Amino acid sequence: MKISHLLLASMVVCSEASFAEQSVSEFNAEKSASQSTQLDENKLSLQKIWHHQGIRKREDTDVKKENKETWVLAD
Amino acid sequence: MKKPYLGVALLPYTEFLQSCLPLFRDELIECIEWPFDIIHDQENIPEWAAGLRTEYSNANRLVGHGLYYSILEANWSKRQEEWLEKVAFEVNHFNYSQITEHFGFMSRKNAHQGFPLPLPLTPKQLLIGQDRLKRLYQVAEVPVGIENLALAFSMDDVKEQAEFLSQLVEPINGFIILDIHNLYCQSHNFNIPLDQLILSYPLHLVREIHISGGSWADENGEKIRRDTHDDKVPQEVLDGLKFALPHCKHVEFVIFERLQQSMQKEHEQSEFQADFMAIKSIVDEVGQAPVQFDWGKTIDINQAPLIDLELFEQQNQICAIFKSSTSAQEVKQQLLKIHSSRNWEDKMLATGLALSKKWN
Repeated sequence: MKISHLLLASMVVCSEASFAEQSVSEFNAEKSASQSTQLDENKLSLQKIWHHQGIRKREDTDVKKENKETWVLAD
Repeated sequence: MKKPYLGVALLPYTEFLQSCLPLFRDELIECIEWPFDIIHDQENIPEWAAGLRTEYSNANRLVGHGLYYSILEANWSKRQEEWLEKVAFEVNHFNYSQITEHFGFMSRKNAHQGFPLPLPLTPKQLLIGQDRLKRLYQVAEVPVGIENLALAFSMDDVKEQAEFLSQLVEPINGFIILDIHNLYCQSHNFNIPLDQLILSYPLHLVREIHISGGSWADENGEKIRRDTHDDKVPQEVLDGLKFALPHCKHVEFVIFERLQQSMQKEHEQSEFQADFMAIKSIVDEVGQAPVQFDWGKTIDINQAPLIDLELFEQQNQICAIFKSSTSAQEVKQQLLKIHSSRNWEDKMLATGLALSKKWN
């Protein structure tokens, strides 16, 4: 079922904004099993973590969906 | 409708949104189930969740699912009155296609605590359950259904449940939610082939199917399947769906359930999406256009709610046994004083003890 562009856009914003709320320690805990180098809590801002997470998320997203998401947000 | 609508049990949490977003974006979610009585803070439902509820309501694709009515409870109190008021509020504000509840007796009367306990099918117990469903139907004014329960303490519980559900919904011409993972739990825990268990149900009464994952518990070295909704859907459950769907001529909704606590990691969110797509491929492959059926019928209940205080005392005794006992053997000895002919399974009584500790 198709939902409205406005609602979908707000869902995208809420979904992405939540990454910014993730603390450094939570991020490190999540990554500790798979990464040898953890993020330095004193050097990295939440904004950078969000950016880092955003890149990580986008790696799993195919180009077609990425374009569609951009279009929805731009709409 | 060319085949049943496939949807998800909507939970108003960010992890859930992140998991479902690609599915909503690709217009794959055809209906949503709203758990109207488990949301702790009704006034602070996120805007996106409220928006989805409204959009699916406007499109006649919203189904309501409750947990705390406790349809087998032999007493009647303000709590049940308030629960029905909540239903009245929901159906007055949103366009629900149906309202459903769970089979069983809630072990705690406080909202958001307790777990549903199976109870033996007796004439008195049946009358209580029928009375409660009539009251729900009278308030909801839409088709009302009831979901099969995973937890069973004995083979008697397993064998009785299909008949129990069938008789419960008969007076209101109601329907059944066939939860295939719940049947999978019983199939494993009581060593019954899943297909055989599915066929033992009145499949002509199935209007909705639930699919979920769960987890394994260990009781003295024996693996017990639990309906925890926190892991991927087992292949056996997907096979069960593929087997059941062609037998359920009236099924209109297939709902996928998973708890938000198990959707926090990226791989869990991907797993959720993969499970949804696996369910979708089965519905696309074997789902048929539902044969229309006129659910519900005119009922008139002017009398006061049915109360059986002797039965209620017995129900409370069963809850107290699980709360106070320290071993399955102790539970069994106490339960045999109430229902001497039941073939209680130690491993399942131990599971009941674990649930009691978790939820009470």
